[in-house]
Amino acid sequence: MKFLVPGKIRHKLNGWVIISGIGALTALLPSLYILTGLLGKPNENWAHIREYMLLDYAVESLLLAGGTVAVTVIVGVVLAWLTTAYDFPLRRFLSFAFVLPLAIPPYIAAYTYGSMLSYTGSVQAFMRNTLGWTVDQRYFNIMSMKGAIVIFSLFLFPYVYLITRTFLEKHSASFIENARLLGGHPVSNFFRVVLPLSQGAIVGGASLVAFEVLNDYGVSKHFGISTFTTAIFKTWFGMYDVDSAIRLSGLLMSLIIGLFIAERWLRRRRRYHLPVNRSTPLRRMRLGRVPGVIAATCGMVIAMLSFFIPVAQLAVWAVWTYEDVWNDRFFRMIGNTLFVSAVAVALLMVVAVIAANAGRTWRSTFTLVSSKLLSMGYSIPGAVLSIGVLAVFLSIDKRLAGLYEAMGLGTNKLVLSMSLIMLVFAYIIRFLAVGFNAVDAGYDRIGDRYSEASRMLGYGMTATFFKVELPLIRGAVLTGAILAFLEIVKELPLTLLLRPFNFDTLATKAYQYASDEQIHQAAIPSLIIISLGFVSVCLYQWMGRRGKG
Amino acid sequence: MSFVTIKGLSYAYPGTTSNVLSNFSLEMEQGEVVGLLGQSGSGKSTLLRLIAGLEMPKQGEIIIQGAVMVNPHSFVQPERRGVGMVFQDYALFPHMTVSQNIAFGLRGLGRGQRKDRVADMLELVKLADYGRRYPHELSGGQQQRVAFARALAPSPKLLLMDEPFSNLDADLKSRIREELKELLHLSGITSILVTHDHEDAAALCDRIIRMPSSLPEIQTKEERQLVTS
Repeated sequence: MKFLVPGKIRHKLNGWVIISGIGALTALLPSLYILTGLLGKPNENWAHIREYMLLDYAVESLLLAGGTVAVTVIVGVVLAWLTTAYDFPLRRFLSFAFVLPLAIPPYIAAYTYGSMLSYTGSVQAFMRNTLGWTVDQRYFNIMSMKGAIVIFSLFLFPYVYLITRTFLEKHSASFIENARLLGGHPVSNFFRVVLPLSQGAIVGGASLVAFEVLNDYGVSKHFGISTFTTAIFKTWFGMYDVDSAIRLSGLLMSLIIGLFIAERWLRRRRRYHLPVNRSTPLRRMRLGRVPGVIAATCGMVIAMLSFFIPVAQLAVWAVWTYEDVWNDRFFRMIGNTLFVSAVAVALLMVVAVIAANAGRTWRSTFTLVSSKLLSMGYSIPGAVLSIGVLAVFLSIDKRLAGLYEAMGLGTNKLVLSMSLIMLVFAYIIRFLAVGFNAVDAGYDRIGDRYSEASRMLGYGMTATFFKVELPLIRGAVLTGAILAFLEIVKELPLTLLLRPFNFDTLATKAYQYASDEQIHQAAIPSLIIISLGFVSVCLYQWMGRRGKG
Repeated sequence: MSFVTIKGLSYAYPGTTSNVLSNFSLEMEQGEVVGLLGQSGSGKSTLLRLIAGLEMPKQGEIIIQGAVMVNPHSFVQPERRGVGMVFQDYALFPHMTVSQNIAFGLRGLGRGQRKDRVADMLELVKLADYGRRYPHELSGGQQQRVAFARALAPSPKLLLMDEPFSNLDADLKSRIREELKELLHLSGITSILVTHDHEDAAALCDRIIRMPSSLPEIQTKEERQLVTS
C-alpha cells in the first residue's frame, strides 16, 4: 500500500494533512477515554447498578430502538415507493410534507402530544365538552414504551423515507421498468425487486433512526422510560457518580459500535453496479380513483400527525403564553443560543474544510480513516460524548492546576470544565460530520481539475485553496455552516450536560419548561426551533435537487 | 543532453498492482512537439500527469532541462516544475474573467508588466477584445485558446496538452487545429500532446509515440502518412 512506503509519505505530508490528523485524534480522545473506563475497577455503586438496573436499561433501549426502526422502515419504505412509483392526488404536496417532521425534534413532539392527549388536553377536552363522550383513559396514555415508539416513528420515519426515495428516484428506473415489462404483479415486484434493490438505502436510513433514538434524552425522560441515556443522566446528576456514568457510556458505546458492524454486515455483498446519472426517471403509474383516494387520505393522516397538528397545537399555546414568555430574559437566552452556536459553527467549518481538503488531495488509508473518525461523532450519543468530553477537560484542568494557581485564580480551580469552551468543543465533535459532508459534496462537484490547473500555474496547496477552491465551494461551505448551526440550536442532551451554570439555550429552555409542567410556556422556544428546522429541511431538499441537476 | 529525459517510468493506480505504464522511457529535444497516440486506457494521460507532478510514479525518473523532477529519492511539487498544462476540459476558473485566468500564473511581476503580458497573450490567441468575458461566455474554441494562453503566460519550459480537441465540434476541429499549429510554431515551445486521433497527431507533431509503448515509434513523414491513411 502506498502509505507504507516511508520514502513517499514525505512528498505530500503537509500542514493540511497534519492538522486533519490532529483533529481526528482530538475527536477520538473522549471516546477512547470512555472505552478505557470499562477497563478500570468498578465502585460499589456500579455493583448495585449492574445487579438491579443494567438489564432494564439494555432491554428498554433495545426495545425502543428496535421497535422504532421496525415501524420507521415499514412506513418510510412504503411511502417512498408510493410517491416514486405511483401518481395520485396530492402526491407532490405529500412527497414534500413527509420530510417536514425532521424539523420537529422528537422531545418537542413528545411533550406536545403528551399534553394534548392528557385528561385536560385539547383532544379529550373536545371529546368531553363538545361531543359529550366519556372516554377510557387507557386509550390516551401515550406515556409508555408503545407511545414513545409511536412518537419516535412519526418524527424519524423521514430518514428512511428520504434516503430510500432518493435512491429509488436515481437508480431504480431501468430495473423496475424491466420488472414491469416482464409482467410481474406490482406487489410481487415490490418484494422481489424494489426491496432487495434498496436494501442498502433502507439500512442506511434505519441506522440513522437507531442512532437518533439512542441519542435521545428528552422523549425517554418525559415518558419515564429507563434507557442508557437517561441512566447516564441519573447516575451523573442524581448520584454524582461519574465513574459509573462513564461505565454506562462505555456500554452504550459498545452497543453503537455493534450497530456499526451490523450495518456494514447487512450491506456487504450488496454493492450492485448501479447505472448512475440516468436521464430518464421512473415513469409513475396513475393509481385508480379508489386506490388513489385511499393513498391520498393515508398520506394526509400521516402528514397531519407528524407535522401540522403538533405545530398548530404549539401555535395555540404560544398565543396563550406570549406575554409570559416573551421578555428580556428570553431575548438574552436567544442571544446565548446564537452566540454559542455561531462560535462552534465557525470553528467546526474550519476543521471540516481542512479535513475535506486533506482527504481529497492525499487519498490514502490514513486520510480515509481520519475523515471517518472525524464524522463518527455524529453517531455517538450526546450523553456519552459529553461524559467523555467532561472527563478529558477535568483531567486537563487537573494538569493545569499549577498554572491556574500561578495566575492567581486560586487552588483546585476548574477553569476549562466550567466554561463554554467545553460545550463548544463537544458541539464541534458531534456535528463535524454535518459540515464535512457538505464541504465534501462541494469539492466533489468542482472536481480536481481546477485545483490541478492552479498547481500547474505555480500555486501551492494553500494558495490554491484561497484563490481557487474557496471561491468555488463557498456555497457548499455556507450550506454546511447553516445546517450545522441548526443542528446545534436544537441539540438537547449535550447542552444539558455540558452547559455552564445558569446558561440556557432555546432547547434547554423548552425542555426545562416542559419538565416543570409548564408545557404551554415551552411552545414559543419550540416553535422557534421548529422554524429553524424547517429552514434546514428546505435547504436539504434544495441541495438534493441541485445535486441532481 | 536531451531537454526532457524520462527513464524507466512505471505507474499503477493506488490500490492496484497491474501497471498502467511500465518501464516507459522517452527523450525530447528542445522545441520538439511530441504526440502521444493511443486508445483510452493506454496510459497516455497518466504519463502527462506524471510529468506534471499530479501523480507519483512507482518507479523511474523524469528530468527536465537537467533538473530532476522525480526519482526514487525526490519529488518536485507540480507548482515548482515550470510545466504548463492545457487540460482536456480546459479547467478555466469559472469565477474569473479571461484576463484574470491568464494573469493567474503570472507571479512576481509588477502590475504593468503583468498587464502587458496578458495583453500579449490575448493578442497571440486572437482574443484581444475578450479579456473581460467569463469563460462560460466563450465558445469551445475560444475557451481552448484561453486555456492555451493561460498555460503559456508564465513561460513554462514544457507545455502539456491533454486531448485538446476532444471537446470541440468536428467541423470546428480542423480550423482550430491549424490555429494551434500556428500558435505552437509562434511560441516555439517544447510540448507534448496527448490524443487518440491519428490526424491530430500527424498534423501537429514532429514525432509520434504510440501507446502502449511496445508499439514502434513513428518518425518519418511517409510513415506518418501511412498512419493517417
